Amino acid sequence: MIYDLDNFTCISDDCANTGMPACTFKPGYTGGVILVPKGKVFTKTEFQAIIATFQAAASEDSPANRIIPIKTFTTVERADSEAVYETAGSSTFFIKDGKLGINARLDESEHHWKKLRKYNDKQGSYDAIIIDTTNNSFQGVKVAGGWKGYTLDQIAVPQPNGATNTTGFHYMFKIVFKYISEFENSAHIQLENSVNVLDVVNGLIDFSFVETVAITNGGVYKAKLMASGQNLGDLYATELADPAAFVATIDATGVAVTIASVAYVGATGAFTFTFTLPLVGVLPVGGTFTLNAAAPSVLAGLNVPGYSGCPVTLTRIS
Amino acid sequence: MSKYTFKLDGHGFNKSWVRSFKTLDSFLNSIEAQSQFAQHDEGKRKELLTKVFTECNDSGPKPSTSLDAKAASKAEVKK
Repeated sequence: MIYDLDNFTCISDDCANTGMPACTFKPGYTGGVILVPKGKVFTKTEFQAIIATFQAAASEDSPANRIIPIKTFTTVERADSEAVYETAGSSTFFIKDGKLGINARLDESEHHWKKLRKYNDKQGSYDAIIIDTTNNSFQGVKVAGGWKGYTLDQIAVPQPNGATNTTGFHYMFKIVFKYISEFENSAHIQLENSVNVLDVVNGLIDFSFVETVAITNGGVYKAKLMASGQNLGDLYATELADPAAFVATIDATGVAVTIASVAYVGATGAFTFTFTLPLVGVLPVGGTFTLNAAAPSVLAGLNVPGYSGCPVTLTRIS
Repeated sequence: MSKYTFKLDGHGFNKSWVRSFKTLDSFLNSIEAQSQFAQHDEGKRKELLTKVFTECNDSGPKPSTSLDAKAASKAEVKK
């Protein structure tokens, strides 16, 4: 087994005796978080195979169902709000809890910040699982029917800290947890030591269609497929020379355009896409259609795992 | 490779699209086919395209005939 649901056996929700069991758990260093679709509850079957579950969820075809790993934090500061007290005479009375939060620093690229910025203020769409590197574990909340991420009050990805003559480019990622009560039901899934909790789940890598050129004489276009500076033609020339790896639709009508063939031209490092000429009569010259990669699961089935496409708009030129 | 794709010389062809041409000549004369294998001369291109047409039409499930359907029906009755 590569998991150990230690705290699942430690929690006794209705009891309050304070003798310590053998499986006490002390959260350690937070190395990252995983944003999970809001309200998603992992069933027992899912969390008993948490690595496979997370890896599948990170490659979900539907972005709405996809989990988003955010890592690796360089430093993490507390960003808690103060508990509220009231003074009456010479006594101070506790009124209510503050909120827990973390302010994490990432020393990643500007490109990474641009990606993360998409999640700024998206606390309404995600819960968060904490990646605990000290205990090699995932930390979430025990709920009826399973295990879930912490509800969030805020996700903030503010402007980055530009490079100076003493510090490099970096940026902060802040989350505030909504309910202290969820920490009363924290439950940890601990991995075996042979598995690094930071390495088991990665986000999809976006690739773009760049240097797109329409070749006259109908529906022939060429494009390089670039993933963060890496030409996918260098890695997947054979696998991606496949019409099944792509989809195309006419923008105005949503009608699918058949991709007749895809070929890789090594000399240019670009792929050539030939679309069927039902474009003629269906899409007027000057009309646009969108080319994108097929769903991540389809790409994985073609031995191109871990990628997602960014669509490009093409114009019929003749 | 997808079962819907036929690959030859670095090109991946949509089998359904190739099969949509009723004859080899109509395929060879299509504007889409003429844009393929541009790195080769006319003779080689025609040879490769002919192979594409033949292979795409030879591979994959064939539509069942009415005789097949009758045989299947009889087998079902025997069960």
